[in-house]
Amino acid sequence: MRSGDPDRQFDEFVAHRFPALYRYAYVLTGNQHDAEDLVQEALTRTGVAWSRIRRKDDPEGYVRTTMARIMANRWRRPKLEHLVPGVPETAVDDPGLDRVHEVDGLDAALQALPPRMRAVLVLRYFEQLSEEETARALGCSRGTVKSQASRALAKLRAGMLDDPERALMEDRRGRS
Amino acid sequence: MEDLERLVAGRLQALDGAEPSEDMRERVLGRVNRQVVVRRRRRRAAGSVAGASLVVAGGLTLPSLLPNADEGTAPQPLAVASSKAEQERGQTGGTGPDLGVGQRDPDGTGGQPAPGAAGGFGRDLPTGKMLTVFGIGPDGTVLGTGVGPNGRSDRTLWRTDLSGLLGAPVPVAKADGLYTAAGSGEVTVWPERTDDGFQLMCQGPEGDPVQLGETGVARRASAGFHVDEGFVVWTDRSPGGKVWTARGCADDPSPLTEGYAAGFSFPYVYVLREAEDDAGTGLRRVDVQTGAAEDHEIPATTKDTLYAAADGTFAVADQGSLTVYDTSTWEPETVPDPLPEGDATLTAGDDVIAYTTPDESLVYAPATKTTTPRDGTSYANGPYLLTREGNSFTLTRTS
Repeated sequence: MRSGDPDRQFDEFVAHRFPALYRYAYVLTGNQHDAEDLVQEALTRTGVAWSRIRRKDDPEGYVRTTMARIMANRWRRPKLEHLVPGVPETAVDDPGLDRVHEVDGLDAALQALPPRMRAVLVLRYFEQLSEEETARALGCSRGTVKSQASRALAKLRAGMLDDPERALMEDRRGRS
Repeated sequence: MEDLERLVAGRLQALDGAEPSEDMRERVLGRVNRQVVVRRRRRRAAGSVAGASLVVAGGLTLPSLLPNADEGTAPQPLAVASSKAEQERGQTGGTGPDLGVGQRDPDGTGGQPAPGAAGGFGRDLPTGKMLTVFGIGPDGTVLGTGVGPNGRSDRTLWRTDLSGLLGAPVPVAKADGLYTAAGSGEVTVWPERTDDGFQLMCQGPEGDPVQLGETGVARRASAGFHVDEGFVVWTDRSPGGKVWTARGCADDPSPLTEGYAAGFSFPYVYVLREAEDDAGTGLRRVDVQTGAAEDHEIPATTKDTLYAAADGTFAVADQGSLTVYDTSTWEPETVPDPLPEGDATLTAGDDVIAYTTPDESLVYAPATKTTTPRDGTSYANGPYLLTREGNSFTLTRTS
């Protein structure tokens, strides 16, 4: 990556790493539409600055950090769509359903998180970065990471319980 | 790791298997290639066009946060025009991706930006915070600070100007208590908190920041400090206020008059003074170069009243109403539209006056007596108007 035509190098980098970068965008956003936008914007920024970035050892890391930062800085963007759990069907007594409901509720709660909180969770629990490393990646303080992660987890807990099916399940559990 | 954290990690890992389809891959990579070409071209254009020659022909275009995210529904240009013809011109963009340079690319392939068109810049800062603008200078300089989701400032003064308008703002200084700033290409000034109030700091084109004056700067809405044509004008913290002036950062400050400097449009400083009766507010207009002064009186104002001065105009926003004085006749013109509610900033340019809250603004054109309410902030100075919609700022030359 240190010699040759820069534009060609960028094309090769993108062609080779696009699937992995898209998957990361999908983890960050949780849906295909936003993942497309995110990976597109991050690759565009990378392409514009490629002459500088290609001299670094880890262009993929640069793109990933760019995606995380774009995501984290979208906190004021109005959320127009929320993924919601499926329409509840008739409840049946099946212990395996508890796990399904739990996952449904968590997915919905994850999807409803503000982008910045979700980005922090992705870096902390998907990438397994420390608070310090997450702060560095997002360009914020460790305290911000800590508080965002804590608030995100609290929202997830609350969100799981807010889910009607989940609440129904808890209610059933309480009565049995 | 707690159970919930493990569960979260598991759900996020489950999303890691999403493979892009071949169609989507082609589509995204095609857009990336086009956008890279367009943005590189914009950067070159921004670097090569002299600031003063930048003119937007017609209206504003508002670049989206993620270009090409929705090519068919990009926001229409907003006209801030003085005639119907200009308004019509302002709404004649193509449907291609927004180049952020005042024109649209009709075929979506990235056309050459027209000479003289200005562009926009994003709100994201490298610190992860969002740019909150304090105001703009008469040469289009944009100054602001970074604010996080909790409303906490990064205590950094950020700046961008026409030469770097399409790039990210750059940090100018760090200061405790930074609540506003003013400046142009030659001089940037901002307040810095001290043990007993605020002092005024000044940064010229070279060297380190210096403190202006020994008696601090008053923290009073609209009446603190101003910059135009390389002159700095400010009110100190003495009881009743004293107005000082300095040419650049290196000049020794000179006292100008008693009172509060409510506005400055070179060469005139507009100074609030006690009126002879309680029914009004005294307003002294002083020539900063000669010291020649003339006194006027405007209806009574309060400490919360906002003021702004421009060439031939002095504007007053008080109790939800905007009044604009023609400074050749001192005839008041009251704008009938109600002002947006909330903490506000009033700025005046050669052609428009902008009253802005953090969420909405009202732009008034005295020549045509027309108002344009806007979502997002607006700031005017000299021949420029800066507007924000969502996370995109656009600087427009109004004449």
